Amino acid sequence: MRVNTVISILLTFLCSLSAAFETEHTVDVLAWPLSAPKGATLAKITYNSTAATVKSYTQPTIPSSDDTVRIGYYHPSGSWSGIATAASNFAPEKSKKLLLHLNSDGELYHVGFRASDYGSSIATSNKMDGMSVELVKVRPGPTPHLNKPVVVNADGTVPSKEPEKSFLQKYWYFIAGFLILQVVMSSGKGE
Amino acid sequence: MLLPLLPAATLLLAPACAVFSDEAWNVDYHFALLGAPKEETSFFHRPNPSSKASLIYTLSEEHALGAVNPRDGSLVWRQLLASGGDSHNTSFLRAGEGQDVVISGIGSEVAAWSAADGRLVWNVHTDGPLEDVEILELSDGKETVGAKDAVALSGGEHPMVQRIDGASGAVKWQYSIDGSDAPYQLSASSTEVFAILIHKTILGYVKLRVVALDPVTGLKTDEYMLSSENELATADNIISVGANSASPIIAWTDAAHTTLKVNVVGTKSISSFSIEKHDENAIERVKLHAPYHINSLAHFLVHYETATSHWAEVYHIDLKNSKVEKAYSLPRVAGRGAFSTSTADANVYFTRVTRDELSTVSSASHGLLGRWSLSSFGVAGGVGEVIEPVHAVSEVSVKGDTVSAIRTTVLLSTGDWVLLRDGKAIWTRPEMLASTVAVTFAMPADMVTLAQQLEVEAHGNPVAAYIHRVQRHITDLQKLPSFLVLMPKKIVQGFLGTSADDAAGSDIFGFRQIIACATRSGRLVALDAGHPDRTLWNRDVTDLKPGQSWRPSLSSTKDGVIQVSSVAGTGVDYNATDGQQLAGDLPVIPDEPDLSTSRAVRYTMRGNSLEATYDWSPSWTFTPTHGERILNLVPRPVDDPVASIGKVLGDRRVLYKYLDSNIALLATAHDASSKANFYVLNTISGAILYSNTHPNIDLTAPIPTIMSENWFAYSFTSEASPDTTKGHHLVIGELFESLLPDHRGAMGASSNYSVLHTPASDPFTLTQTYQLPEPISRLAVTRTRQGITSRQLLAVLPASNALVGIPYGVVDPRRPVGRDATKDEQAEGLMRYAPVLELDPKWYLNHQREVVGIKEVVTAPALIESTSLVFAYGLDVFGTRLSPSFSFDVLGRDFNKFQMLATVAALAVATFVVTPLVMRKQVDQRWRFL
Repeated sequence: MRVNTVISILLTFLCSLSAAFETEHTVDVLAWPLSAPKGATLAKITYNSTAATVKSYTQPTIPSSDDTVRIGYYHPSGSWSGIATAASNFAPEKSKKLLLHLNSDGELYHVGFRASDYGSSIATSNKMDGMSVELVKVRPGPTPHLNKPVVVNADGTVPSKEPEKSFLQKYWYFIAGFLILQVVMSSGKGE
Repeated sequence: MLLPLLPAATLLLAPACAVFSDEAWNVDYHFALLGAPKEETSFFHRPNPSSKASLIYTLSEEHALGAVNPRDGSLVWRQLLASGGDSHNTSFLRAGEGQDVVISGIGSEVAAWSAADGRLVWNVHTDGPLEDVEILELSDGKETVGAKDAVALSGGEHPMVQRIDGASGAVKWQYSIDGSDAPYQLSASSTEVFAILIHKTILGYVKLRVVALDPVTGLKTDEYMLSSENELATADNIISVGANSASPIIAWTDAAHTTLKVNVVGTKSISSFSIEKHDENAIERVKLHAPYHINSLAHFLVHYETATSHWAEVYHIDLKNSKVEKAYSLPRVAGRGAFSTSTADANVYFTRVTRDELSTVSSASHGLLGRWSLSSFGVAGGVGEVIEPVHAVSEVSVKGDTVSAIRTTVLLSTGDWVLLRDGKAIWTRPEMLASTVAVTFAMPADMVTLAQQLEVEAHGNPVAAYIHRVQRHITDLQKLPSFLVLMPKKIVQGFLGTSADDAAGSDIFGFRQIIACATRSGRLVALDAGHPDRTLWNRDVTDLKPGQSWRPSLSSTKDGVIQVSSVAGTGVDYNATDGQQLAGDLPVIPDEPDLSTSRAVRYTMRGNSLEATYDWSPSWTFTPTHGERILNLVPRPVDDPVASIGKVLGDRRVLYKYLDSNIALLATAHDASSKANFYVLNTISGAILYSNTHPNIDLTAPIPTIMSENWFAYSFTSEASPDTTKGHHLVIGELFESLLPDHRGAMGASSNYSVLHTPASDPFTLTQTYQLPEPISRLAVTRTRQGITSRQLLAVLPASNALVGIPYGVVDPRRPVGRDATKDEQAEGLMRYAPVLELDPKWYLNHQREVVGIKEVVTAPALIESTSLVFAYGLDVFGTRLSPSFSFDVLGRDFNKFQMLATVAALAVATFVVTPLVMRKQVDQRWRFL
């Protein structure tokens, strides 16, 4: 009996542990100038469904003839997914941010990129050399806002409304007050 | 600053638009089509055996079964039959003599339909795909009362013959065919049912195997193989297996069409005839026309066709010894021809339709019983095109030695279906429009010259513009005499209240645009949106082989020009007014910069991913994750003018719209988890602006999407789940720069930015879902010239054969949820959110019409701002004009010019009469007081 309890507690603990330390995924995000034959690793990022960190960041070497750079990654199947951005966004003084778009299974399906001029306003914990990362989870689609359902009793009947109070029950204090006033007035007259 | 926004705001307030009763049937038009009728499934038949009146029945290539009134060509009833989705594209339609049902066979379903009203009597599903359906006409001495039975031959793994009770649809008997031979056709004589099978020999030739069955018991009585030797290479060379005649026959030729072999089914002897060559061209087709009646004479006609001419030979069968002999031949005539067989009692008549003549002969002798010359079929063709008959069916009544009346329906090479009565075209049905695959609107060239000239003047320097203007007025003066001649007529028309769109030749409102439709058969058909009842022109623009399909895209790059382009091909330009092909550079000067030299981002769907190129080198790529497939992609329309960059709130503050011309809505489906994902993409950088996912979606149901202005919409059918309700949903999402009024978000009011250099912050998206009473198969949106008019979401409802226009205000995602609208919101036209969107009957653009099989809806702006032209196609063709914010810039039909002028005149007269009186009174008054 006691052994069972211990085992069950242990199992529960393990389960919660595995939930907390969800499998970490690693993805190599590549920067690929338009004229280059293949992309070079821009950043190595580890992520799970809730958080992501930049493990390493390499400043890309962009030929001066290129004004556009592709940023993307390879799917496990080997196909490429990526976006295009201007080469000037990789200037060292700019603050850069990678967006990882995750689908409802926590799987990466697309990347995004943002660069801004002004310093390090973005959260610093997951940042390396001016490169930060943010997870964008796909939103659940909107659902109709339904009206409130009718709550039924245990036997399936619609609960009957509370019977309304009668006139006397509602306003007895007015009548009582009036009567007291009358009594007081009449007693005053009598004196 | 807000003042210019005010009119836009008042337009948004306009209540739900409706089809007015005086506009219904006037501004809209509808062709209830069947599709090109097939020769073997079209016939005249009396729906009520006791009455003489007959209808034309057909089962078309679009799998529409219908009855057409031969008097005026109107549709009596129609049923869309599901083909089962397989490539086995054969269909059958039979009607027994004196029966009030027609029996159809398609896919693996045999169904009987009431001939008078098209109601289903019974239907039977066979195990395999149907190979043939026939009606048993047993001549057991007495004419059977009640329904005649049908026999069906089905293929598949277990081919079998089934006899189906004509009244109930119960299977009376079935005979399984053994062996691996492919079932080909059924043939029934008065005493036996023959199943004809194709037996492949080791040498690759085919032989015909005939199984004779007893019609009463379904037992095999005989089986034999026809010795067709080696001349029958494929089943395509079998011309005909006649059914339901006194002596059914099988006929075939060799591959080179040099000999014709005929076998009377039930005997083993084969008669052989050599086919004479009439001209240097090889015979391309041989067709056989035999009567479909058990009591008719056993005569048949063989129709030979070469590329340039055709002729025919008539053969008689001697019933006693089953010998076939040639009786006479009909002379060779240039062009194509069509023959049809009709019967009256036992007599058989053959009617021949050529390019310019209609003639009827009896099967017994070659003397002409009637002959009519055809001046024209009354349909529009291409420039210099000779319109030729493709196939025909006839109904002949003969008195003595002459034809007293003849009605022939002919399918023409233009795709029109025409009824000829005594050689005159009575009606035409534009059945080619049922197979429309692409449509575009085009302005007639002459309507836009003024607008172009004014533009030249607006953008030139003042002196040049002035000279240009004077020159224009001088040229305009030349038109003055003709204008003066027309003036009285115009004034009279104005007085009589005939509205401007009726006046031929003038189209100041842009209602009479040319609609060019590309059909699957490779023709381009032009309709006038103002007078849709006549086809402007109809020309063959491709050189398609039979069975080849055509997926063109149509566009009107320039006014008066229609450009047709196929996949990856360069476009060919046609004049919109007359259909003439424009030779490359002559009248069309490309006024837009050549795209190949400018730096443009192009994107395309390759495999299951979207790939974009910038400057011809690959740019962004969107690849869905494993197991996800792209359903569709709708970009914001190229020509999508928006008048106001913001939405004016009730308190006069403004919510700024996220207006980017390079956004697109992508829908993908994940089949394993039945999820649908929707992404709003920026098509320059490939970034995702908004994404969401819906679980538990019925992915077999249609998922239409649309994107316009700063909003997108999609619809789907959802299964029940804890999160949402089961049913059809319509989702609207609207993108804003910021959700704070009077705030322009991160980009501020900067007029220039590049999404590549400074990726703008994501738009703020408001979404809302509405539950719909029925599914939507297609979404479209109205378009107007300046985009001032509010928009309407057009939705095709396949379940009720309707097209509805949902005003945008009704589905606005900003409708307040769970509370009543505040005063400011009410001023904006917002009302409290309701989860179910009841489709108001006033929104139905088709009002009483039944618009069947709509696959696509296209819209185009008219010249006046209030109006958008709508054209829907698929099977039926439906078009109308819409004024989503009412016709605020044009007078309606109910405006009475005469009454207004009469009032003005009466007032003028009254003023003249009263003036002296008033003067005298005033003078008198002055004298009195001074």
